[in-house]
Amino acid sequence: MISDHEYGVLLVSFSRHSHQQSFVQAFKDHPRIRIVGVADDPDIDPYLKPLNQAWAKKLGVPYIEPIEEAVKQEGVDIVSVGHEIERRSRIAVMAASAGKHLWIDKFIGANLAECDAVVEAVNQAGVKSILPSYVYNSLVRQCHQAVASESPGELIGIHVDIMFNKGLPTPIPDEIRKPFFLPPGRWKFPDIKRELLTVGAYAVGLILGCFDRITEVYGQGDAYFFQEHAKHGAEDFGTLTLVDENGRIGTISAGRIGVGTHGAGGPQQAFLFGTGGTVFIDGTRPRFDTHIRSSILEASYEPPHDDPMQWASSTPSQVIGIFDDPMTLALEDFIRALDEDDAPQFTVHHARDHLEILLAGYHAIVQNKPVPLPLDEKAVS
Amino acid sequence: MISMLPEILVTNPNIHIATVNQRKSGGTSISGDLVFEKYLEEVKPDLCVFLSPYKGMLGDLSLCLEKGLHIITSGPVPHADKSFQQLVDIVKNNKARWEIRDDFMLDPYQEKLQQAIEETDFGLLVYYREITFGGPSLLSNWWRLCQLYDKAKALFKSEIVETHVSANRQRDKIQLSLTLKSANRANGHIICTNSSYKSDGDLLLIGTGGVMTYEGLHNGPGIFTKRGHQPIPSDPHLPIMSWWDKIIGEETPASEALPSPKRMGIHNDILRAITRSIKDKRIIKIKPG
Repeated sequence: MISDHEYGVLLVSFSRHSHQQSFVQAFKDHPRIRIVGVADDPDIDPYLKPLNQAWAKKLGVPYIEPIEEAVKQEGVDIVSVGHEIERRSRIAVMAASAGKHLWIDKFIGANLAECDAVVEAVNQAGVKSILPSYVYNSLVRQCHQAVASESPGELIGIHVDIMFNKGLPTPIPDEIRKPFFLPPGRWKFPDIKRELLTVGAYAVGLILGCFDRITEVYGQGDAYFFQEHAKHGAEDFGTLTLVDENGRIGTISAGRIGVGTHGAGGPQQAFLFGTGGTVFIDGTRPRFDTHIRSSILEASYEPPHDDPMQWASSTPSQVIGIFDDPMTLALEDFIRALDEDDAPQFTVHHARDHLEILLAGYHAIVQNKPVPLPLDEKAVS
Repeated sequence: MISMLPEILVTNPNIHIATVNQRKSGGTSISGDLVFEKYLEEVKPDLCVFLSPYKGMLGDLSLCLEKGLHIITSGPVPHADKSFQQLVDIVKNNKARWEIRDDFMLDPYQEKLQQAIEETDFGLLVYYREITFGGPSLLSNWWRLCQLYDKAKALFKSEIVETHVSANRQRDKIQLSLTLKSANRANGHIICTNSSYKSDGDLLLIGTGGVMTYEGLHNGPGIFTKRGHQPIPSDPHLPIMSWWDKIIGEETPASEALPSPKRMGIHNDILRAITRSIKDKRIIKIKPG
């Protein structure tokens, strides 16, 4: 029997350190979703309250402070968490404890202890959770399809390249480079994101879904495109090498590499090596390739001044993707899970293991050696 | 295209490419029946080029050197340190000569690629990644890995200061990977496999000014048959003959009778790390030489 139950969604924050605005259209378009409010805490960056209020007005819903009160409201079934990484665990625990299901943008905590707190709260409350960003995109879906077809045979290894051609790099004088690599733990910066986390996370999510338990991670992150990142000693580009308990090898290159370097937004591709053959998947396909004279001859593009790293803006592209919207697919999976009391494909449980791998990669870069899993954060810090 | 069986090239002075077979009773034979020593007696080569690696190659190499032949190997020879000293003694005592010449196995477009890097606003190289079919065996993939390691140094224009090896074997399929870091902060991944793929593989170069790629899948003719789409095979001996023409056209022979011990050292360290990585299912760091 098809359910017609409508789920109320509370949007927690439009922080520019997250992607709440990219979820809004999927929520608005779905007949079984109703946005019921926008919420945030009073102690936020000065730009954020007016932005939250503008969104609330645009969506015709109330703006509610603080989050702790907002999540308890009747009519809220799902809390969509779109805040800074450092705040997400507390928000998720509050929402789960109030009996609300969770839709969380990417990471569920800033460290493993925060992730464990969210997993515990979700388990205790018996609510559902989803992280919509990692498994519904074209690259991951095609990889899963290839593996499920059994054409590649047993997997031996995977290589993934995922890069965003965003931002405008400038030459980096040696004197401004931080002399050491910044350890993991701080994720919020006014001018940069840590790109192994931000972009590499997609590749790690892909490998996590194809491999068995990861047992060792090595990382490299000392090659820079941007002055902003070099000043912080915080990577804009990095590589990871992973090994699982059956010896399968995963290698990843990921980062922000500058605008105008790829016709489709940046390489998004995977090679699956198997006993039956090698599969190559281009995640920007299927697509139309477009070569429009005016866009090439009249190009004088610069990233927006208020978004120089292009966290929220896209770059000119010479392709038109022909695949289903990942957020719509994620929402469909989540609603199905809610209706059927099942689990969606990527929950907070997966997210915890996912962050562990990334953290191990960071510690491997700092220590300049492979780091074993399970990760003992106290031992490596 | 890589030959699926080990091969040697001999000149006497006619050029002849022969297939090496592993004999069930041990040792190798050439093109079917002739054991290697008998083959050398019949053909009387003045030069022997080992085009592909195989188990037992060290013994056949030693045999050639004992006969005072000029030997070229298109890649490193797996050996223990003691064995290398023995080879040194054989070369000296028999006035033989042994070079490693892997230039023909390198990317035939490498020169054009480096030219493109110089002539465009590519900027500084940040990441080099190459994935390729390395032949049927672990040894052939090791050779390919070593060749691409040297290619990486040329592209980085810098020494490699960190190398990590990961290797996996499932049934008869292997994947070997190197994670590289250069002195000028560039990073690299080299992946060689005997899982079916193209030998001219896939190349990705990311610089501060742009991206360059080579996609083997799209850079050659293909055919659709009832079995699906496949590349039209090319003659695997063409690049060998083209390389040979270049070699015999050189006026100045190599001055060293033996390959560089340092270069041999890193290549053998890579092989030892591969073996250990497969066994232990770990990422193995190679200490810089």
